[in-house]
Amino acid sequence: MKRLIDQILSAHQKEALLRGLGREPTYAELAMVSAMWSEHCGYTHSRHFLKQLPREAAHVLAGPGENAGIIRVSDDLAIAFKIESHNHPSAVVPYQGAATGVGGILRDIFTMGAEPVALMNSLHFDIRAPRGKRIAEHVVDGIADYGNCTGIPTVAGEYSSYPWYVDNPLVNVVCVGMLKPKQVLKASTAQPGDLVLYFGNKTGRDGTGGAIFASLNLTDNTREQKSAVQVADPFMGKLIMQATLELIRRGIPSAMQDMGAAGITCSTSEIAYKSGLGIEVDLDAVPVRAPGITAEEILLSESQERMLATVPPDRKHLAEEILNRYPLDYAWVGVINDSFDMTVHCDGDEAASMPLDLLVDGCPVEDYSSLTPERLREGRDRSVDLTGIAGLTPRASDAVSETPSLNDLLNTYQNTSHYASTRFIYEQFDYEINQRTIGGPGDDHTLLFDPESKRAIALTVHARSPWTLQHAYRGTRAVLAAAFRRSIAAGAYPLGLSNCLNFPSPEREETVIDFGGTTLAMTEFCNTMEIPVTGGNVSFYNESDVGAIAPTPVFVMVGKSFLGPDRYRYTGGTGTLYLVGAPRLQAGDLYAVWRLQRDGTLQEAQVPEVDFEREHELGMALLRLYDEHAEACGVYDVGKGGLFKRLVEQFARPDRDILLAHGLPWRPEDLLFGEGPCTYLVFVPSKSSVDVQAHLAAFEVAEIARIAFGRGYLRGDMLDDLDLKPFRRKADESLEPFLSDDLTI
Amino acid sequence: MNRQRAKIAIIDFHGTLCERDCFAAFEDFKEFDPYLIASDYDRFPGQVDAVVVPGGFSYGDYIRPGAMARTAAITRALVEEAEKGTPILGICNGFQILCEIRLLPGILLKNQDGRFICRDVALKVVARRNAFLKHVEQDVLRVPIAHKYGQYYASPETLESLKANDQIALQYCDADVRTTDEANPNGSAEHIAGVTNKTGNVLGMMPHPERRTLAWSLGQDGRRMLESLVAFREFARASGL
Repeated sequence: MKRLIDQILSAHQKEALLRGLGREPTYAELAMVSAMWSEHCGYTHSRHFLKQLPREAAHVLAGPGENAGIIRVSDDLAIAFKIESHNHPSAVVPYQGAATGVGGILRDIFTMGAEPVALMNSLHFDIRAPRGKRIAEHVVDGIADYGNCTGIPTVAGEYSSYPWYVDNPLVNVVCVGMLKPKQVLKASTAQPGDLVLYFGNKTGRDGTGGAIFASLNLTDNTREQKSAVQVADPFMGKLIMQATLELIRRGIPSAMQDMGAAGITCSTSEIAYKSGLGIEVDLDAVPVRAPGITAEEILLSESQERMLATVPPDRKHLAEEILNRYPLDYAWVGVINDSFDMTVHCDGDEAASMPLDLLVDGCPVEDYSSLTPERLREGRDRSVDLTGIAGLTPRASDAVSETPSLNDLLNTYQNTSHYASTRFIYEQFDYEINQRTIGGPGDDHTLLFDPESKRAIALTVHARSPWTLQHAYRGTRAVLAAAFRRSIAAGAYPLGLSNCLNFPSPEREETVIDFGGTTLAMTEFCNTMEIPVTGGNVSFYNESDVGAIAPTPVFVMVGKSFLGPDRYRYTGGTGTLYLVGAPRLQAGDLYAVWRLQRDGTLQEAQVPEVDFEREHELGMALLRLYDEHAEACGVYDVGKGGLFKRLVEQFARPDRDILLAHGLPWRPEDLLFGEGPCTYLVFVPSKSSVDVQAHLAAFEVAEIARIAFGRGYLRGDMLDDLDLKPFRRKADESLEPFLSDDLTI
Repeated sequence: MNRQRAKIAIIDFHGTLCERDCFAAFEDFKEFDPYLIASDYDRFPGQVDAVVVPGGFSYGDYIRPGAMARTAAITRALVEEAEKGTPILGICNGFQILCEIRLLPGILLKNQDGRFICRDVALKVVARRNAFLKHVEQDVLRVPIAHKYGQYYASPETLESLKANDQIALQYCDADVRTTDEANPNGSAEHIAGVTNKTGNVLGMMPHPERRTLAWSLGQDGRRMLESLVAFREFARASGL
């Protein structure tokens, strides 16, 4: 026993456990503690920073700590949303890893009484390597099969390919649900005497110790731990979703929690602890499918599609009546009491009995008070210290062109996968089912229709690893501002922020500084913008012997849009393009891509310096513009690939020319491929009389181009006539040539 | 007036997904009175004017799409309605189910490139024998597909008899109404997107017309098929059938 403790717990943790228990733990107790105190469940290295995030707002109905965040949109509508990572499982068994990621995030949403209405994803690979390509293909297939089979549309996503994901792909999935504000069901509302209901799949050995697995670096050794990856059954997922929503609609459970990481251990202990009560669990009652499965295995199993609820005894028969109509297993596995302890019985004996505060909240956490905000803002100097980041290998370059020419940039744009249409990915997802998608993956904005208000809910998911790699604090500020601009362009002020913080090992100091810098940037953003953090997920240990990933915080924003089905859409007419802001080439994604390809570094690349106050003011001005003229003009953010990508994807037509204005104050490289703070593109069709410059009088606005009849060219005095048709064709061809692997067999 | 609204039975298997979209599409017409019926029932409650077998993943597509649904209690009643001549529309998984229970010829294989495809397609209306197509005036309908198993396959003899009997109802086509390999998204034989039975009352199709029926939908071409059913019923009533 002694040796086992030393293997599983750190000296720190061991001391805390022995002190808390006042005796040696039993095997079952040690198993429970090992899962609950893992980085994945215990937030050992992140809690210090996470607890500083602003999470209060009058419209937050459920915040961090619950299965998902919930915000009130109107008296009749609340939105539940959350993002979660499934990076480690997807690296080992890409199809199952990604599919169970979708299953898990769906459960987080319907557990709270919300009906899942949309899925999104943020996927990051290195598709230059055959292995990365294969991972990408199978991850997409896994996400598609689970989402499609459960009937939840995958309405948006983003994808990137950088060398630092070569061994550690990032698979982050988002689910959004709708519910009535008074339907919210939490995990913290169980009552003494309530019965503990288990339903869904039987418990097997799959996924045993998954939470612990997620808390290790990927090595060849861990990569063989396929049993730590769960197996997905989307049909069962759909059944438990229907059953759960029916139970909640009928007001039967008093509290609910899904079985995700650390399975039964986590769900039973948290439901009791959050309710301020105790719990008794009888493992002999748990439906199992593996013969000879031990108590410890049942406690640690992460078999998918399992739910836990507490039900007052007088509603037991009502619950059974409903569950009997579904082809799934259920069992009464315990009872809630007021002991503040968790007691586990197995084979008639008491296998564990320990205080809940010790189990759930007793994990010693790291204290990083010495890292002051000043220190975090300073960050670590990446230009000197890039060692350890996978794929960053400075090469001696010929030094002929220190800055890229317009032609270099156009070539890079044309020949990388970065700016190809993601159609090859999103066409594998059913993005239309349930008829709410009025802005889908091929559209300029992501919009879900709310038939009640006749307006849309705008969704945004965004990450920019070259920025956050250069400087975690400043980079995160820039990503947050970029995501905010996307939300504004979709007509919505964000009502809440969810996040998935993907980082390397927290056992290295530089990761901790980066992580602290990211959370500090989030705090500043949330305070200035008055947007609460409603939930999130931390994924550490995204590194292998090849190297670490770039810190990759992924942000999700949800808001109520001024846009509806009648919003303006460019369909090929003539009109005027206005640019707000001042883009700079070095801050743009294309520059980083060019640098990486040429020199294997990010030297000279920049992070845009953003001013949240200014972003806020401009955002509000644009929303006022939409409020008055949503049918008469279009607002677009200028993101990856800069203005050029917008022009090619949104406005290039074989029978139109885009005529750049004379005497524009930018170099073409900056104008076309740069990015910057407070940067948007606004299009006003000829027949509309919207005065953009009057609306945005307090900001830098320039009339940059007109769209006129022509032959598909970009023309202007700053460049030679450029035929946009090949670029358009290239974008339409999508990622297929970069990704396609033969799946036919 | 309620009595005159056509009763539309929408069959709901475990794992069916598009039942609500179909319900919403029919509910949007004053002429229709749609209702959902669980597949565990062995008969329809009273009069049925049309039956819809919606898309989804009935029983998780285990074994193969549609195979498990065939064993559901409602199947016999469905076959009886088919034999009575009631208009029946199977969409996507519903098409696969109708093929599995042999109400329609052929079978749906995995798409040629092995992947799920969600995409708008153009459909050439080839034969208008089914009530859902009889009064469609357009030659081309634009509706989306969303399937992984949509490659229509039948033996050469069956394909010949389909052609001879005007049973090919819908084919994938391009913007110029040409049926080309490029316009065929999944490798279906004869570019088939939809077929009918010999008598024409049973129609199975892979694309989803129900997704193009509502005011905020991206198009209205699916609505044309429901309007056709309205016109068909009026025609039937006027001619005293």
